[in-house]
Amino acid sequence: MSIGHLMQTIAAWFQAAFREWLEAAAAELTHLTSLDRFVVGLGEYALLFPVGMSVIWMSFALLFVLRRERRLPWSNDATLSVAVVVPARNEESGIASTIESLLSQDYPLMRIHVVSDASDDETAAIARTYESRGVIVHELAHRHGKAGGLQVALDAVTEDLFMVVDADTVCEPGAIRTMTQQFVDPYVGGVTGNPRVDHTGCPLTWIQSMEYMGIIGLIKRADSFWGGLFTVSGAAACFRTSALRAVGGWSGVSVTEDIELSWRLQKAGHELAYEPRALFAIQAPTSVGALYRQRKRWARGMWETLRLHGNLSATRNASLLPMAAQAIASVIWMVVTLATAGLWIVRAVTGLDVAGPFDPITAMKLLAFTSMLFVGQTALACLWESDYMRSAGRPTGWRFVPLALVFPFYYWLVIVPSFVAGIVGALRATPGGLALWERTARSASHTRPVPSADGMRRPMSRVPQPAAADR
Amino acid sequence: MIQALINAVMGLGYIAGLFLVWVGMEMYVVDGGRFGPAFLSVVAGIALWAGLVSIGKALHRHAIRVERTVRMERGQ
Repeated sequence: MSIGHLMQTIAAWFQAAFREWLEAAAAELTHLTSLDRFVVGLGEYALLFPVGMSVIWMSFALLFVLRRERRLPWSNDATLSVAVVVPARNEESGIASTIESLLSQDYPLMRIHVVSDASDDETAAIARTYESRGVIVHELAHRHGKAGGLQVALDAVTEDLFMVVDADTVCEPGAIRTMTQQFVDPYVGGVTGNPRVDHTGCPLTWIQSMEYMGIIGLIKRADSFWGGLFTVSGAAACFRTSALRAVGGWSGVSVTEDIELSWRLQKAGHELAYEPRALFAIQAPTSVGALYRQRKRWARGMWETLRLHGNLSATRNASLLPMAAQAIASVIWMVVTLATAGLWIVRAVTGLDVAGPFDPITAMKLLAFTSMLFVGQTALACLWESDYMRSAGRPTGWRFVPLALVFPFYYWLVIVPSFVAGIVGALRATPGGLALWERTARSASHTRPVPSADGMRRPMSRVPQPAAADR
Repeated sequence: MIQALINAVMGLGYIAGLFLVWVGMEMYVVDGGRFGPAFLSVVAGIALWAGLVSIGKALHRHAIRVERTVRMERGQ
């Protein structure tokens, strides 16, 4: 076959493919021509949205891994000083583990602050026992909320970076040093770490382990490729102190201070970055009620943030556009899916010929396909994470991958009701009140020993070892 | 005003990218069409998004650089 003939064949294939695509695109646009066709289109949206988002997240997460994650900066020199702030209210069960894990870090330019927000228990007393080892304790006489407590610390610190670590979070060895690395880029105003659920024997924490790894981790990678983050992780995030002060610091106007601050920083022109190499062990809710309340708070915070900062017409940071679109599309999908399910029930009960794109059998097949796609997505994320997890001496998470099959049930039974309740709560709330935190009931203590400086496990394979002089 | 216009164009670009991904999935999953054209449509949508992300980031960093330079010149 001559080259000319080959070129002709390829051109003919593309021509036929384009014609086929044009026909499909035109058919899609007909969904806007009549109400019946529109309802059919909504039904298709309900069933195909998870597939589409999964494809989009996987594609951009893969681009992040190939183009950025393997080239993330690393230096053994410690040039930026860090104030690590641990906000706490009634955290006597976990505060010692958190402080111990911070004291065992190998970063020399670090000062630890504990802010006890009018705790009723022994939190402040436990923190004070570490004062001889350089820990600074701020005891607040009246409740300020998490944001208020962090603002008190922000007014007191003089360091270049301001890092927040929740009082029930344990830092893996080298986490603080790793969190400082991306600040070599002057555009970066904040960095979020890689939280991993410190799972117990409770199945609810297993599925959350899968969720953090296969969905939240994947979305953070995709968001990072887009140039920002929907939110930093409230459990472990680091900010440039000057950037925080420039935007007015922490605000108590939202129940999720981390989402609100993330958007405020990005709208002001600062970039946020994901640091997958910095691992933090977090505690997850162990009861359905606690999980429901946590997710309700997240949904309410998301809605409040979109209400406060959702006008993106004049923002210079275009990375917020796809993230806002993703959040709004998710809310629409949830509403449309509930409505479609309602239509099917009406059709089944009354026998009426109500419009719908698929019969229930086809829908079930599509749901099975979606579940398999989720398994693939989770396996991909597990593959990317396994190096980090192994290096930190933690299980790689492969055993949680099959749980992706039951994720749709978990999603519809727990996440969706809490999401709806959260948004309703946000719509009914009076703006301007002070957001106070409520402690989520989690596992009582971390299931593994706190890492010590002496017993440091081998460093992560993709992270160069710190110089001996810095240890 | 110019920023709003840029954002509107970028927003339309993102919607176009989503439409490409959407049509690709619809062609293969719902209509049972050929895999090749459907796959190309999805890839084209992802590529459009990736291009817009690069342009958006470059524009954003340029704006910040100019602002910082102006601030430095003013001695702030």
